[in-house]
Amino acid sequence: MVVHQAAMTLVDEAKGGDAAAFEILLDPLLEPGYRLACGMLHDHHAAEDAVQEAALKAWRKLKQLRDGMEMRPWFLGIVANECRSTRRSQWWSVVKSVLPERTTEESTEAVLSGLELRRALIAMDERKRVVLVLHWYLDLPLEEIATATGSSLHAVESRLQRGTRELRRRMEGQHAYRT
Amino acid sequence: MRIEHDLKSEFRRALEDVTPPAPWLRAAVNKELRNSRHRGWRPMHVGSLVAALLVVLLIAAVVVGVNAWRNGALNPRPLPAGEANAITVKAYQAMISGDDQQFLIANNFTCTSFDDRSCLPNVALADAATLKWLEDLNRSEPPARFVALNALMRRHLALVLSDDIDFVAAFKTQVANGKGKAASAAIVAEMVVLERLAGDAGASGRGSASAYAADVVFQRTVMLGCGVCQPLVSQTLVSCQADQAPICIDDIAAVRLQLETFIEDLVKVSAPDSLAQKDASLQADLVSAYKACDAMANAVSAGDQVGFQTGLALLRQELARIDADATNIGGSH
Repeated sequence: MVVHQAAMTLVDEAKGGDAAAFEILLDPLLEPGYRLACGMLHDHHAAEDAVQEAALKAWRKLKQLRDGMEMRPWFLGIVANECRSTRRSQWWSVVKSVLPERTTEESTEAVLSGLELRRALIAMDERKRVVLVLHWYLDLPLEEIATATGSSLHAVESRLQRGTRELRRRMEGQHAYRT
Repeated sequence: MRIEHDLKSEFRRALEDVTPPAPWLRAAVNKELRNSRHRGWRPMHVGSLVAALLVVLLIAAVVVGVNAWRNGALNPRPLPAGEANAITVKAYQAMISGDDQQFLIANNFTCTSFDDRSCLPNVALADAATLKWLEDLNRSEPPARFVALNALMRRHLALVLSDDIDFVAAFKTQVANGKGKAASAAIVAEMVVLERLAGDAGASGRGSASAYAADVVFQRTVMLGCGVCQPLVSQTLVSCQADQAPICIDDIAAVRLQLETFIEDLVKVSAPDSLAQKDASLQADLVSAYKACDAMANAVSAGDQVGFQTGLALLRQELARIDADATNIGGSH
């Protein structure tokens, strides 16, 4: 409760134009924002851009954050919107640096199942995809997902259920193909 | 509960395979925020935002009105031909160029053997770059001149994705089995083609009507006159029974290559506006002929003689259409 109140005070300060307060509020949200953007875009350069743009928009629109509303789902909603507009505009497809080198050893099954999941996820409707990423990857409670996506709790539950079924079906389809 | 846990860890593994940590992100965001504050951005009330927007609109309307009055721009003037599409073509070229570069960087690794598991994460990154390129194509409407090239790129990217699965699966057995080696060679071959197609997109320029028409007529002659393609192109009887299958596959590959060359040429010297409609029809027929080749190859691989003959009939029908399209284009210039 004390933490919650402290956050609310910071929100008030940030709304009043206190940049340092805004940075403190934003700091723990950058990593989940980046992970959400990676899950939506499958491209870490584009994900970084989306989070940066979302942070700027959050600062400019901070007054729209209603009293008592949690900052995390609000910010993740902005990131999700940014990912959607990024995908629509297609302007970001420019290489900025080389890909990171990976040396970790992984099992063949893990790599194969990773390929299948990414392909299944990218083929899905964006509204289902965002709910799946927020739930299965970011572990967000359904109420927060509803706030982030601007949907009712019922709609989120149903999208999650149908989306998970569809994801499994798509993954199994690819699994059948390779065996 | 177990299923729920499994899916969570599968998500984590799948997305973190291709998501490097970004420790610099916080500093980058904070820097960007500070810059924006120097530019005067502050949190705004919705009311003040609307008011600011109205002021901006009012100023813009006044400026435009004064300029229009001064320049006589109130009388509409048509844009120069071709200018309206210029941005879209450029955006498409930038997208393809970016995806191609990322694809090449991601594929720039060597696996020494199929028991070298440290190689697998590289395959995952390469696969993600392929998937992203295909996804970009799926989500964008190509400008008219790139329609057929777009279809070719999609096909080759889909082949790489399918080969990736075979390639990774070969690590299971940890021996250089035939399938894994074949997949590896196929990926390299597809990379060469994709590199060439991306280059065509980047180098595309608009030709004059006569240059475009001359090019189309030339490609038509080369394609229909291609020696190795004759068994399929001419109206002779073709059999693809078991022992003939490898020859058939080679013949199909030869026709496919001619079609690809034709399509690539249409991008290098693209049609002017006056021939855009005829070009669209030619591109559509080239793609249909290409699809007929794929159907034939699949039928031969499956030992399906009826499927092969159906594909062959379709190919010949499409080739006749391409012939008519080219004659029509050549005849108009």
